[in-house]
Amino acid sequence: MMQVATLLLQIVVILAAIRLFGAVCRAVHQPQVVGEMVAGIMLGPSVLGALSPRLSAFLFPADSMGLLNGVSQFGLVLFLYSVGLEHDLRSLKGHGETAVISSHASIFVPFFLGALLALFLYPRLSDDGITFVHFALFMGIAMSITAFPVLARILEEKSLVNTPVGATAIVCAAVDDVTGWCIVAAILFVVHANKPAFPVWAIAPLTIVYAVLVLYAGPRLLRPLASRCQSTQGLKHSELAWAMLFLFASAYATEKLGIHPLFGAFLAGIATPRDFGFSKAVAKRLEDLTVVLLLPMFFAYSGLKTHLGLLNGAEMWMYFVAIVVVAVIGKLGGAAFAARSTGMTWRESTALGALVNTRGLVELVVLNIGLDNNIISPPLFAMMVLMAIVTTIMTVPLIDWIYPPHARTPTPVPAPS
Amino acid sequence: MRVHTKAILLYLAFVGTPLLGLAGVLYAGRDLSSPASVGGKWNFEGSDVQVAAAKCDGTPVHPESMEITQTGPRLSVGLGAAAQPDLDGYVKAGVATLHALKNGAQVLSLQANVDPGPGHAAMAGTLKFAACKGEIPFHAKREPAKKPAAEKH
Repeated sequence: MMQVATLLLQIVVILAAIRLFGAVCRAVHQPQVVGEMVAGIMLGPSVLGALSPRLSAFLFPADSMGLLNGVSQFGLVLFLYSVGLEHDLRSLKGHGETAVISSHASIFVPFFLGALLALFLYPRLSDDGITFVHFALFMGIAMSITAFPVLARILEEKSLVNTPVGATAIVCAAVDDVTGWCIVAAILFVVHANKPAFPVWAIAPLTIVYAVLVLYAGPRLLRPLASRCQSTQGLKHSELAWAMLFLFASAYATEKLGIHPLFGAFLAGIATPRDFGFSKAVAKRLEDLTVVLLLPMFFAYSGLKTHLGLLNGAEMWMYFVAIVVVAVIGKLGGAAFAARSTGMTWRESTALGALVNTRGLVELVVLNIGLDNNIISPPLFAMMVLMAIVTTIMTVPLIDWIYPPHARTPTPVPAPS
Repeated sequence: MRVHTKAILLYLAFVGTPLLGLAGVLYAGRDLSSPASVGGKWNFEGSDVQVAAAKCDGTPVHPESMEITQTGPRLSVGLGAAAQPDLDGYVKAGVATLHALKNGAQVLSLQANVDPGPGHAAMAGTLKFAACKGEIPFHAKREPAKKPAAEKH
C-alpha cells in the first residue's frame, strides 16, 4: 500500500511539473514536449536531487522505481501504438523523388556520421561490456531519429502542412519512423540483450514472419470492427477492447521474440485498419490518457535516470558538443543537400532539414532502450538526452528564420492523407 | 529516362555512399579496444575490510560492497560510508587505480587487478589509508548485471 501511496504522490508531482514547464515552453513558442523533457530532468538527480536530496529520496525512493517504470512502459506501449496509428503506409506511395531521396538521406547520412563519431567515443565513453559494432550501430540510429508526432504538431502549429516542405517533411518523418524502429529492432536482435525465449538464429526470421503476418492478417481480422464502428457511428467499448487486445498481444509477442514490446506496439498500430476512420477513432480515444497522464510518467522516469552531474569537466562537455554538431550536420545537412539536389530551393531544402532534425520524444524512447540494454553508459545517455532537447528546441526558431510565411510557395501541394 | 538516371545517381550518392562509409567504419573499428567493464556493485569476499579499515584510521567502510560508476576509463567508487570520500580514478590495462582526496591530500587509495575473463567477474588488490602504514588486501566479486528494464516487469 505504501508503494501505491508513493506512486500517487509521484503522479501528482510529475503532472504539476509537466504542466508548469509545458506552459513555460508554450509561452516562448516551443513545443510542449520540450517542457515535458525538461520537467523530467528537473525532477531527477540533476536538479531536485542536487538541491534537496532528502526531498528527492522522499518523492522517488529507490524501491518505488519499479512501479513507476511499469507505468511509464505501459504508457510507451500505448504511445507507440498511437504513433503507428498515425502512419498510413499507403500515403507513402507516389511521392516524388525528393521525398524518397531526402527521407533515406536523412536516415543514412546521420547514421554513418553517428557511427563515425563512435570511433572516437567508444574508447572514451564505453567499455568492453559492449562491442564496437553494437555501440556504433546504436550511435548511428540515435542520430537518425526524427520525432514524427512532434514534427506533425509543429507543422500544424506553423501552418506548414500544405506546403511542399511540410508535405515532404511528413513523408520523411514517416519513413524515418518506420525504418528507425526496424533498425532498433535489428540492433536489439544483434545485441541480444533481452534473452529471448527463442534461439538467436530463429529470431530474425521469426520477427520477419511475425511482422508480415501482423501487417497482412491484422487489417483483415480487425476490418469487421471498423465496419461495425461505422454502422454504429462511433467507437464502442467492445471494438476498443479488441483493438487493445491486438495491441498488447503484439507487444507481448515481440517482447517474447527478444526484440522489444514497443516494436510490437508500433506494428499493431500500423496494422490497425484505416477504413471508416477506425484507426483515427482509436487514436483519438487513447490520445488523452496517453499524452496527459502516462507519457509524463515516462518523462519523469527518464529524467530520474538523466544525471547531468556526470558531465563533469570540459572534456565531457566537448563530447556533448561533438554529439550535437554531428547530429545536426547529419540530419539537417543530409536531408537539405539531398532535397536541394532534387530541385528544391536552398530555402526549402534547409527548412526541410531543420524540420526532420526534430528528435523529441522518440529519441528519448530509443535512448532509454540503449541505456536499459547497457549499450550506452549513463553519462552518454545524459549527453544524448540533452542533444535531443537541443535539436527539438532548435526547430521552431530555425523554421521561423529560414522559412517565414512570406517565403512559402504560393501553390500548395496536398498533404498525404 | 534522364530524370530517372539522375534520381538513381542521387540515391546512390546520398544513401549508397553513407552505407559504404558505415561498412568502412565498422571494419575500421573491429579491433578498437575499450577499457575493461568494471561498473556496478562489487562484494568484498574473504577479507574483513571493514575491521581492518576501522583499525587503521578509525572511520568505518561499508562492510560488504562498493559501487563503481564507470564512464569509459574513468571510475568513481563509493565505499558506502558518509565519513569516507568517494574515490576517483581510472582503469587501464586491466588495473583499476583510484584515489580519494580530502582537503587536497590523498587519504585513501585503491589498486586492483581486474580478472581478465569474460564479464570481469572478480578483482583483487589493496586499499591503502594515508593514516596507516600497511595495506589492506581485498578480493571482490562482481554482482551480476541487472536485467534490462523490459524484463523487469
